[in-house]
Amino acid sequence: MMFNRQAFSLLGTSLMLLVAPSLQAAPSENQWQAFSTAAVTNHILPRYQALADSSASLSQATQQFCKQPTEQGLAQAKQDFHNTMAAWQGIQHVQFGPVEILMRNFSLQFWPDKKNLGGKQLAGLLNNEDPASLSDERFRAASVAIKGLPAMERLLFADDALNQFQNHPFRCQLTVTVADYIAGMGRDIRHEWQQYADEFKQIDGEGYYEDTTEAVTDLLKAMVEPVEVVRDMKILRPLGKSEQRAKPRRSESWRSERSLDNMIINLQALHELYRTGGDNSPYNLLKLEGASEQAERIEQRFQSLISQLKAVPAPLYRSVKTPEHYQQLRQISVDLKAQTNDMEAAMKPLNIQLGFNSRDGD
Amino acid sequence: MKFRKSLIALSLTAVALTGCNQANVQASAPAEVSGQAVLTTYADIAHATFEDSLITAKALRKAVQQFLAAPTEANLQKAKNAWIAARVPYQQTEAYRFGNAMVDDWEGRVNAWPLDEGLIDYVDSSYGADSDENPFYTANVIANKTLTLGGKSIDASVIDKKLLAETLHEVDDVEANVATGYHAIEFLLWGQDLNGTNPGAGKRPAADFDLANCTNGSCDRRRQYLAAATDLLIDDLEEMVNNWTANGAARADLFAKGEKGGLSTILTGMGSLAYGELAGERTKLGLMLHDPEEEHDCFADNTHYSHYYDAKGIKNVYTGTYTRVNGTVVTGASLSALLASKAPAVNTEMLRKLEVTEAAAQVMVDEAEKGNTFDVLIGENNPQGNQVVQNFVDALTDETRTVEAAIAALNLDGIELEGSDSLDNPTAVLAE
Repeated sequence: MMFNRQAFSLLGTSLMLLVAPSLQAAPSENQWQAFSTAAVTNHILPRYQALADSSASLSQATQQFCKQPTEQGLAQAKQDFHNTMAAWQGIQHVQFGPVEILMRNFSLQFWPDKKNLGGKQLAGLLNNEDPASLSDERFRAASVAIKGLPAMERLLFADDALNQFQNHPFRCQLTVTVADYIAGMGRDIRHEWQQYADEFKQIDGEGYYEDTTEAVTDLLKAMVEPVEVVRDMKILRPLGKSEQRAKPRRSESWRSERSLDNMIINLQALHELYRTGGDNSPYNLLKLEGASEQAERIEQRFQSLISQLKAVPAPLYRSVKTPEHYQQLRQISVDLKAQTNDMEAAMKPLNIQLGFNSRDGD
Repeated sequence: MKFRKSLIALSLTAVALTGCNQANVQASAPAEVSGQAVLTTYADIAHATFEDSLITAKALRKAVQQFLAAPTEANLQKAKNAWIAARVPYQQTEAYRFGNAMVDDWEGRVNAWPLDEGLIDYVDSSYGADSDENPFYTANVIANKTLTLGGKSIDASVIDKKLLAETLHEVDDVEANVATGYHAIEFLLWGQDLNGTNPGAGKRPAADFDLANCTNGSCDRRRQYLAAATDLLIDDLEEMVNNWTANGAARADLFAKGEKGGLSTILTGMGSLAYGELAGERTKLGLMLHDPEEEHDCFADNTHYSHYYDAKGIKNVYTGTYTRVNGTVVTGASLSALLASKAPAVNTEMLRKLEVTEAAAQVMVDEAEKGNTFDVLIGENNPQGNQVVQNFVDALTDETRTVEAAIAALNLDGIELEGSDSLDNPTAVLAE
C-alpha cells in the first residue's frame, strides 16, 4: 500500500515538475547545504562513532568473559550490550549509505522476527556445536537472524545464562563471534562514513547526489519515517487488538527489558535531527517558510512524546498487560500518528517530496 | 537511491513517449483497443483461472479420499501429485490478489504463508519449543483435544471445517497460525522438510494416516484434519469462482472502478505481486535468512514452480491470454495491445522484461529438476545458487519499474488504489 501510493505519487510529482516548475518559495541551496553539513557532522558521525565504540567494548567484554565466565564478567557484557543497543537505537533511523551495504542494517538487528527464526537458527547452531560454523567466511554468509543484536541478547539474557556459558564453551565462542561481527560492522560503517560524509558537505552535482534537495530528502526521510515505525512496530504490535490480547513478547528487546528505552532514544534522536543546524535546522527553516505554528507543534510534540514514554513504567512487556498503562500507550500511539501527519505536512513548505516510504530497519 | 533516480528517468521517458505519440497519432499506431474490452478479458481470465483452481482442488480431494480409504505410500504419492497439479492454476491467480480487495481479503484463507506448523501437528525438536510471536507455536491440535487461549479453553475434540476456519485459523491474532489452505494441506501430506538446505522434501509416512498401523499417534484426528482442510479449500475456491462469473461481485467491483480504475487495478496487481510479495517477501528474505522454511512451498519443495506460475500469472493478465489446464486458451483484448497503441516502446519493454523474468524462473525450475530446489539454492554456502535466486529478484524488480512506466504512460498515476499489507513489510524494500 505504502509502496504503491508513494510510487505513484512520486511519478505524479516528477511529471508535474516537468510541466510546471515549483512556484513554492523554499529554503535556498545555501540553507540546505548548511543543514546537510550540520546533520552529518553533528548528528550522524558522532552517533556512528558511539556505535563503533560501544560495540568494540562489547566485543572485548565477551572475550574477557569467555576466558573465565563469572557473574561479574557477564554483568559487564550485559552492560556493554545495553550501550551498544542504545547506540544503535540512536542511529537506526539512518537507513542510507554504508549501513545499507552488505545488508548491515538487517544484520545488526533483524526484527521483528515473526517466524522465530532467530530462536530456531540459534538453537540449531548451539546444538550442532560445529566450530567451523564460526569461521569468518561461514559466519559472514550466515543468516542475518543470528549475527546481530537480537541473537546477542538471547545469548546474554537467557534465564540461566551464566550456568550455560560455564557448561557449554561453544556457547561462549558463538557469543564472542557475534560480538566481534557486530563490532566489525560498527567499525566499518564508521570508517566508510568518514568519506561518505563528503557527499553531504559539498554537493555540486559531481558526487552521489545531484543536488542538495536529493541529499536533504534522504536526511528528512530519516527524520520523518521512523516515527511511524516506532508506532506500528514497537507500540501497536505488542499492544495487539485489545488489552486482553496484548502481545508482550512482541516488544523489542524485551529480554533485556529495554523496549521503552529504545523508543525514547529513537525519538530523542529524531528530535535532535529536527533541531540540528541552528538557523538552518528543519525547525527553523519551517519557521522561515512561514510555518511557525507547525514548527512549534512538532517541537512540542517531540518533547511531550518523550516525557510520555518516560512516564510508562518499564518493562514494557508488563505495562502492556496493565489496563492503566495500556491506555497510556494507546495515547502515545495516537500522538505518534499526529506527529507523522504533521511532519509529512511540513514537507510541503520545505518543498521536499519524501517519495518511497521504505520500512527498512524495522 | 538508484531506484529513485531511475524512476524519475522512467517517467521522463514515459512523458516523452506520450508526447511523441500524441503528435504522431496517425502514424502507425495499431487499432485502438477499448479499456472496457481489456477489463472484460481480465475478468474472464480470472474466472477461468479460479475455476481451474477449483477443478484441480476437486481432483486433490478425490486423491485424498482414496488415500484415506487405503493409506499406502503409493496413494500418498498420488495425493501429493494432485496437490502439485492444483498449485499450477492457483499460483496464476495471484496476479489478481493485489488491487482486487475481494481477492486480497479472501486469500489468507487459502494461501496463507508462512506458517508455524507446530500449531497443527507434531514437529521435530529443531523447530524449537516456543516463539516470542506465537503462544500456539507448538499447540499441536492433532494431538490435543483441548487448547488454552488466554486462560480460556478451546474445545477441539472434533476437527471439522468450522474448527479450522473459525477457531484455529489465525488464532490469537497471529498470522502464522495458518490452519487452512494449500500450505496446511501441504504440511499434512509431506510433513516437515528436515533436510535443511540440503536436497530433499518432507518425508511424512503414509502410516501417519493409517488407523491400523498408526505412526506418530492421533491418526484418526490427522485424517479428520486432512479431510476437513481439503473440503474447506473447495468451499473457498467455489466462492471465488462465483465472484468472477458474469454477475459476480468481484467482477462488478472491477467495472465499478471505471476504465482508468480498472486498468490501475491490473497494473497494481502485477507490480505488487512482482515486487513486494514475490521478489521481496517470498524470495529476497530467503536469501537473507538462508532458512529452509523461507520458501513458499517449503514442505513439498515445490517453490520453483510456485514462483514460476506466479510470474506466468503476471504475464497472463498483461498479454490477455491464459492457457487452461485442459489446454484451451482464454484470450481477448489485452493491456499489452492497449499500451502498444499509446506507448509502443513501453509495451515492447514490458514484454521483454516479462520474458526475462520467465527465463529467470525457468532457471530455478531447471535447477530443481537437477535436485537443487529453492531451499538448496538459498543455502548459506551456495553462492552460485544464491545468484540464480538473486537473478529472479532482479528481473522482477526491473519488471516492476516498467509497470510503473506503464502507469505513467496511461496517465493512471494518482488513482486511488487498493493496497496490500505485504508491501508495508520491511522486506518489500529489499528488492531494491
